[in-house]
Amino acid sequence: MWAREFRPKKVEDIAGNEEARLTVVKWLTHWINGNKPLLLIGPPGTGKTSLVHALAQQFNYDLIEMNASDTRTRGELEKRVIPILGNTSLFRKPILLFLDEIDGISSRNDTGGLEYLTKILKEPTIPVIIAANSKNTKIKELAKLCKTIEFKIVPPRLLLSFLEYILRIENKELSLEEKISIVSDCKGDIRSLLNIAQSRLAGYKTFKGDTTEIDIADTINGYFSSDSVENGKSFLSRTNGMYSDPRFGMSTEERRKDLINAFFSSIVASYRQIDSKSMAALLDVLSQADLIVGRAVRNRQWSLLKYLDDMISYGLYEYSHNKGIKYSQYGMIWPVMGPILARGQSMKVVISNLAQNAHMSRSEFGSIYLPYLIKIMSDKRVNPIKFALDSNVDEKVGEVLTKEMERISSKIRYTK
Amino acid sequence: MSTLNNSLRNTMWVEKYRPQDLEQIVNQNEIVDGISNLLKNPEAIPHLLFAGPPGVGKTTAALCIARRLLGEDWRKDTLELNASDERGIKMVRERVKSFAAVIKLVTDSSNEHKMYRLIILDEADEMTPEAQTALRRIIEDSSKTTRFLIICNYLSQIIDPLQSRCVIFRFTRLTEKDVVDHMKIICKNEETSFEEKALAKIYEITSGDLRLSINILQASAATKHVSISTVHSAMGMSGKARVSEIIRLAISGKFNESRIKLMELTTVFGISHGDFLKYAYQEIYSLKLPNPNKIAVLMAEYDFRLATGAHPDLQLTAFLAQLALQASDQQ
Repeated sequence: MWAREFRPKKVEDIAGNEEARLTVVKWLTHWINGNKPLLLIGPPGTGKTSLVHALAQQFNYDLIEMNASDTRTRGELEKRVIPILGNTSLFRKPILLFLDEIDGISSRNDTGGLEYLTKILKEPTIPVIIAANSKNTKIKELAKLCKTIEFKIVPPRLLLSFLEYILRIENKELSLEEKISIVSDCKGDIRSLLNIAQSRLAGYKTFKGDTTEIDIADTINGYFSSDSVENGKSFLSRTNGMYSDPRFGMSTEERRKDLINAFFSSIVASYRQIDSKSMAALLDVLSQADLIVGRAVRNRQWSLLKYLDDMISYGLYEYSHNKGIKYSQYGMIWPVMGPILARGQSMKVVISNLAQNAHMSRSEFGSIYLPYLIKIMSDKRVNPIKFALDSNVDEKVGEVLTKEMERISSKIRYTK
Repeated sequence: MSTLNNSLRNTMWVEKYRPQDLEQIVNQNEIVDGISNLLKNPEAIPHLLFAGPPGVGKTTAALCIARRLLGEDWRKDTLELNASDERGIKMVRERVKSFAAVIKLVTDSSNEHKMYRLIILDEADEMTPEAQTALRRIIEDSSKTTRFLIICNYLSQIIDPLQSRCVIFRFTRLTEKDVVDHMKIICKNEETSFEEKALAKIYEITSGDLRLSINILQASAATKHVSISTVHSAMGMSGKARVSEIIRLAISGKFNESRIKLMELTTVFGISHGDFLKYAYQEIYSLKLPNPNKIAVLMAEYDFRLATGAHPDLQLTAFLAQLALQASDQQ
């Protein structure tokens, strides 16, 4: 297995993230009692674990490692970590403690684990390195105690030359086209690059992820152009889309794959082809499906999700087939949606800066205060830039208010 | 002293005329007397719960109490939270608990009444029952150092154990005379003339919400004269008026226009999906549609779906489509 064979043995063999690596080396070589732990944050396959292994090897530390496969309840941690922190003289070599995949710590099964770590890592007596894929809310408290170092995905050009280096060592050849396809399939993950390259050379065509998966756009288009419910459903069963709750911070890409939202935006964007009765019926189906999603997420009752493919594919079919509904990522055309989103972004700054000073909730403030503030400032010819400056709030507030005031004065001229 | 506060006070009448003392609060005499009596003995002040419609002085009364108990520096020892912005149990755990946990060490004998920290929790009826339950423990544990001032519109939405830990004051809706008289005082002060009918109109639209009334009054007074027509255009600017427009568009079958306006309302003005339904209900009720029972069932259903589902935009858009359908059925 190449991924193991080519795991870098030395810090300098790791591809990418030079600066981050240098910082880590400096941290370890200058480490003194009580120094903050290091927190390495970065996507999988960017060399975090390899780096720590290489460090221990090169700088002659005993590496004690705990990762997601270990139980990390408070009791378990106490048993393993306390002897290390308290008594270094038992070992000949100095110790480096490495807590890998810390964001995989389960709030359910690893009860009290994170809180306990947060407590004991305040002034550690040995160097501690923690690694995680992302800085989620679970580890926020822990992150405050640590010096954070970010690992970025390895850039394609570096991946390509790394791949060529491996091929030279292995005495193998691939066409440039194939190499580029491997680099793009691995999505910046070196481990995955090695796995894909190895299997390509062995004659398999593997991708990171399942080849049979259909992208969300093709899923929606496929469903709406199917000539039978069964065919339509088959698109849903092979989709890379998913049922999720977008209110829990998701990336743009994850949000794009949200099935309920993709169906919703595609249907409403095609409003011209859909009569009011069908529209109400289609949205009712999605609305009911969304209830199930909400319940599944809230109660962590994921088994509920299995009913959704049927609810949606059978529920929508009668009112949607042969209507020419096409996939649309957004529910309205961009010239309409774009300005609303942009204006929303800037108004958010105003609302979050001012609502509390008016002793109101943000929603209430936006409803019965903000529109009047803008009108009154415009009537009184208050200079919004000066207003923001005097108020000691974000200067963007002044800029946004200026624009909004121009909006209403142009409207007044218009109606006259 | 917050400079933003000064800027707002120089601009907005609603801030300029916000009572600084309990006694200035418009016509809640019984409540003001009751609170003043309690304040005579600051040591023994209980937790307070204010319930009542919007714009009658609940938050203002809370701020006056903070000022009276803690002096001009009241902001330092007061945590103002709005539960409708952060409604979950996380808010209670993280913000309330950590603030309540800090013991204040001022024991200056000349200033004995300054020993409390104050937590003003506005729109508490928006809190989940789970969060209210968590709050109940915190109130108990921290009562040595911290006083809670809980504010809500609907007392019935506050769980019993919380109610039983507080002295409850019910604020009542202001009468037309109260609101109009108050607006007249402001007009006189601001050298603004007015049509009597215009002031009556403001009361009618705001149902006695003094804060909204003053905002509409000031927005209608650009030319130093408040008339029926300036009041009309000023009331059209509120979020409520925008919700009415969305409902009317949906009912008249203009589904697409209505959903675009809905998106604008929630995205640009930050109006919550829950508030949209609340205002929508008031608007639909006032439209006196032919089958109110069916509409009420529809509203209740979507209120539930909004609370349970995961995609609020979808839920409200689906609601608009149902409204459009109801309307086309009747034709």
